[in-house]
This record gives sequence, C-alpha cells and structure tokens, in this order.
Amino acid sequence: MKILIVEDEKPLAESMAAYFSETDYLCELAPDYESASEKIALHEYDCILLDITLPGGNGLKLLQELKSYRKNAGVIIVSAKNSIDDKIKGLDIGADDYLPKPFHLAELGARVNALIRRKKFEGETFLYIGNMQLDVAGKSVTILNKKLDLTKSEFDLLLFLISNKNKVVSKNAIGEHLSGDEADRFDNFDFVYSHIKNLKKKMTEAGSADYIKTIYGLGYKFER
Amino acid sequence: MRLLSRTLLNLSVYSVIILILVTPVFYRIINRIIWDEVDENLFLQKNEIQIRINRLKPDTDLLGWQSLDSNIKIEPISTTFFRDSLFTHQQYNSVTGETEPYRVLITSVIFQNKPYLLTARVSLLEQEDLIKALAVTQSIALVLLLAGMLVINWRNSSALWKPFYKTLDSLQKFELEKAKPLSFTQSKIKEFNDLNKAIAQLTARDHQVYRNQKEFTENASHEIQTPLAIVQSKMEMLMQTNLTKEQAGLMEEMMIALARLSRLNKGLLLLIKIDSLPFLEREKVNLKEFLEKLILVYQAEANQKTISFQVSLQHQEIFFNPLLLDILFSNLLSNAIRHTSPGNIISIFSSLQQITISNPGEALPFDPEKIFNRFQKGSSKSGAGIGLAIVKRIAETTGIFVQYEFYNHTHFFSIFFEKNRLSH
Repeated sequence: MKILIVEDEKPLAESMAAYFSETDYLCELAPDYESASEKIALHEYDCILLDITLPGGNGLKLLQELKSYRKNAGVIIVSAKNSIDDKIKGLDIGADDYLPKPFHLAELGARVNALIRRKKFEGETFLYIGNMQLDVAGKSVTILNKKLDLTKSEFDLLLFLISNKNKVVSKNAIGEHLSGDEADRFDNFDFVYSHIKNLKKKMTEAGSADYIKTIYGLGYKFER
Repeated sequence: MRLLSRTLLNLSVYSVIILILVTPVFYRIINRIIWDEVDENLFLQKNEIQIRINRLKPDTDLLGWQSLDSNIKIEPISTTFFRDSLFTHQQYNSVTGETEPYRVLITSVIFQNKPYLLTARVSLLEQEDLIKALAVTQSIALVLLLAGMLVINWRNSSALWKPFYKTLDSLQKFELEKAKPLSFTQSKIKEFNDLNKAIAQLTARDHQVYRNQKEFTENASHEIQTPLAIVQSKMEMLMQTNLTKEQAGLMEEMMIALARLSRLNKGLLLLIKIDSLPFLEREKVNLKEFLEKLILVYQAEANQKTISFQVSLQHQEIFFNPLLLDILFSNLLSNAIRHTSPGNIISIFSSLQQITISNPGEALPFDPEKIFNRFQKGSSKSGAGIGLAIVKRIAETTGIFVQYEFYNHTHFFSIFFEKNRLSH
C-alpha cells in the first residue's frame, strides 16, 4: 500500500513516514508543489496526505490536478490553517478527510486506515484478529461466535487501537479520538481509563487474549 | 446640558429680563405722554375759553353757558390771584351715569375785568383704554420679537451644529473590532472639518493598530501549529521506543504540557475568529434542548470528578448563532467543572431571560472585575485562562450580557438574553 506525504516541514513528514513504515505501508515524501505534482502524475497511491500551504503552490490545486487524472487515491488534507473555509473547499474538490495540525500520529493512522478500508475493500469491512471478528460497518465485535456487548465508545476505542496496532497510543490521542469534535472541551481524558478497563474485561471474559497492554505513564498498546 | 440649550438659555434669560424691565417702563412712558397731552389740552381749552369770552358781549350770561358742557364749570370768585391747580379725581359723569376718573384743571378766566373760576375736566377713561391697548400691543410685539429671535437662533444653531452631532453620533457608535475607520461628509465650517479630519485619522490609526495586532496574533497562532505538530509527532515516535519508567514519567509530563499548549493556541485562534468569522447568522434554537444535550456531553467528565448537575430549565427559544451558543456554554460549563471540588453540585437554572450556572467554591483570590480577562487565573488548575475571555467576547459581539457574582460560597455566572432574541 502506497502513501504520498506532501508536506514541506521535513521533520513532520519524516515522523509521519516513520510511523507508517513499521506497518504494511510504503511512504514517499514530496516536500514541495512541483515534486508532488510530478509524483501524482506518474505514480499510483492509495492515500495522499496533503498539506495546503506548500512552497511553490497551493495544496488545493494539487488536489484539483489529482482529480483531473481521475486517479482513485484517497486524500487527507493535513493543514495548520484550521479554517472552516479551507475545510469546506477541500472536501468540495474531493478530499476525503481533513485533519488540522497539530494532530496525533495515532489519529492520522486511524484516519488513513479507515480511508483505505473504504477505498480498497469496498463492502469488505471485517477485520480478523485471533478469535475476534470486527464488523467495522456494523460496529460490532464477535468473539468465538458470540457477539460482544460493547458501547459505541468501547467499539471506537478498540478500532482505534487496532488501527494503530503494536504502537503505543497516548491517553490524549484516545481521548481526543473518542470525543471527536468535542475534544477541545475537556481538560483531561481520565475517562479513557475506565473505557479501557471495561473493554479489556469484556474481551477477556468472552475468551479473547488480553491484547491491550497498559504502558506506564504513556498510554496503551494493542499488541499482537 | 446640551450645547444648544446652553446658548439658547443665555439668550432666553436676556429676553425675559428685557421683557420684564421694558414693559413697565414702556407703560409709564406712554402714560406720561398721554397725561401730558391731556394736561396740555386742558390749558389749551382754558386759553380757547378766554379768547372766546373776550369776544362775548358784555351783558352775556356767562354762567348760563356752562350748562351746555358738563365738563366746564364757571363760577365767579373774588380774588384774581389764583394759582392754577391740576389733579386727577373720581367724578360723576352725567352722560354715562357712572363715576369715572377725570383730569381736572382749576384756573381762572377774566370776563369784563372780573375774575371767574374755571373748572375744566377731561374723562380719563378713554385715555386709559388707549394706554392699555398700546401697552398690550407693544408687549405682544416684544414677545413675538424675542420668541422669533429664539426660534430663529435655535434653528440656525441646530443647523450649524448638525455636523458636530453627526460626528459625535458616529464616534459613539464606533467599534474598533467591527467597523471600518470613520469617514465624514464635508461640512461648510472649517472647525468641524478639522475635527472630523482629526477623528478620521485617529480612528483609522486605531483600526490599523488593532488589525495589525489581530493579524499578528492570528499569524503567530497559525505558525505555532506546525512546530507543535512536529513536537507532538516526535514525542509519539519516542513513545514507541523502549522507555524506562523514569523516562515515561517525564514523557507524560511533557505530553500534558503540550496538550495544554495546543489547547491554548486553539483558544487564541478562536478568540480572534469570533469577530472575524461571518458565522453570526442567527437561528432559532431551543435553549432547553440545547443545554440538556450539552450537559450530557459533560456528564462523563463530571462523573469522573463525582460532580453532579442540578438542572432546572424553562422552555426558551432564542435567535442565536448555534456555534457561538455552543462555545459560550461549553466554556461556562467546563469552567464550572474545573473549579468545583469533587462531590459537589453544579446547578444550571433558567428564568425568563436569564440562564445561570453556579458552582460552590471559595472566593476569587483576585479582583472579580478581572474574571473575564485573558490569562487571569486563580489557582494552579489546568485551565488555559482563555475560556471566560471567549465568553466575554461572544457576549460583546452578540449583544448579550454576562455577569459574575459570588455569594454564599458560590460562584454565579449569568447570561442575560435581550427580549428580542427570545420567543416563548
């Protein structure tokens, strides 16, 4: 699976690439408009992470170019300008998602995963982990043919952890992911702890292995 | 006192004084003139009579003549050394049958070398009427003159000061955040033009400074986003390595501080956006439903702190921008949760035009007036110090009123909506 990271801030682009490199994704970097434009024309990507303010041009124009080639790459706009105008414009031209800076890499990972699932495996929305089966569209989990009784938050939490599997995900990243647009309202995400506790309990009681590890001081990790 | 009233007051006082002084003086002068005229007439009459009786035949019955005129009486006297006397006296008028004031002249005439006493009189009734008529006419003319002067002066001054009041009005309505710099129409008066020019320059400068400052904050906040994103991503990468317990502890502290920094930055951006974003379109919002939903959002956080909500809301519908309304009450609610100790109750109640959120706590360690200021923090609690500033800003841009009170160990934040925003 190929991802193009169009981002002029090299340290950030490298972090993003490094985060994905340990997974099945292959990342390419484009630090400016020209190289991004060239890469988009020549190669096929599953997902493009697009910064809007680029040296040499506007990311939205790149998006228009991409659409003119009728390529089927998913596009996530990653922008420091968290302006509603840019967001609406970007989504209008055909971006699939919009992620304002600063963001958690875990959040980016979850968005990329979700986008690729939507684009690549149309209809095929089941994930299998050990004896566990996740129906992403139906938002349900089955362990040993028995449906798990999860709340929406618990399901979202599990999917988020699986999307970032084998990675340490911070409590803040989980908290912000679960509260979505409401994230800015909260001072702390202490509620994450009780969600994790409940989820672990439900999973192990149903007969699943205890995949979710607590990493002291940092967060949690879905280990497999 | 208004400028116009002040100038007119002086003029009015002067007019009234003149009116009060001049009327009696005028009355007296007229009186004088007419009485002099009457006296003169009486003497002329005497002379006339003297001339006429000189022409009479010696044997004429002088005393018989007088019956022809009730105003003339001739009687014989013994002495020729008689001093004329002139006086006013109430006498009987045989023609009208009433007692009237008369001007009476008692003098002597000579007939056939014999002295006679001549009493000639003139009724003053007509003269008095004349004096009165003259005085009234004159007074009316004077009143009209002065009143006219006042009115004309008032109208002139009004027209003259109009540009000034226009300038004053636009200055009063001037808002640094919203309006464009002031511009004025040309006036015919140089001073007003100078004043307008000075004000226009001043407001333009203020506006420019304000815009620069706003732009600076906005740019700075945007520019901070990228380094923040880099630090955040690097920390997440670091998290994936094998950290010792000590390192993990340090990382946790750093992440908390970083989260606070990015929240603060978002708050600053929001504060700037509130005046510039065109999201002020109003919608009809059911306030009761809206608040109940919002309280649900905060329920988890409150539960975590074992804080409960006591909600008593009336049905209210208001015209307001939903996004601003959300930011407004979110900030008030999270502020209340932040500053409430575990186990306590936050109460939210509404009455006709007002919604109050209250939570128990200790008195502020700073001046309560400053509670809506940016970065005014009372304790080490984790707030960014910008939420209530945002509340205030929203109140200012939308014309609602927000008030803070503290009594009975309880903080009260009240929002007052204008009547025209409400519909029950």
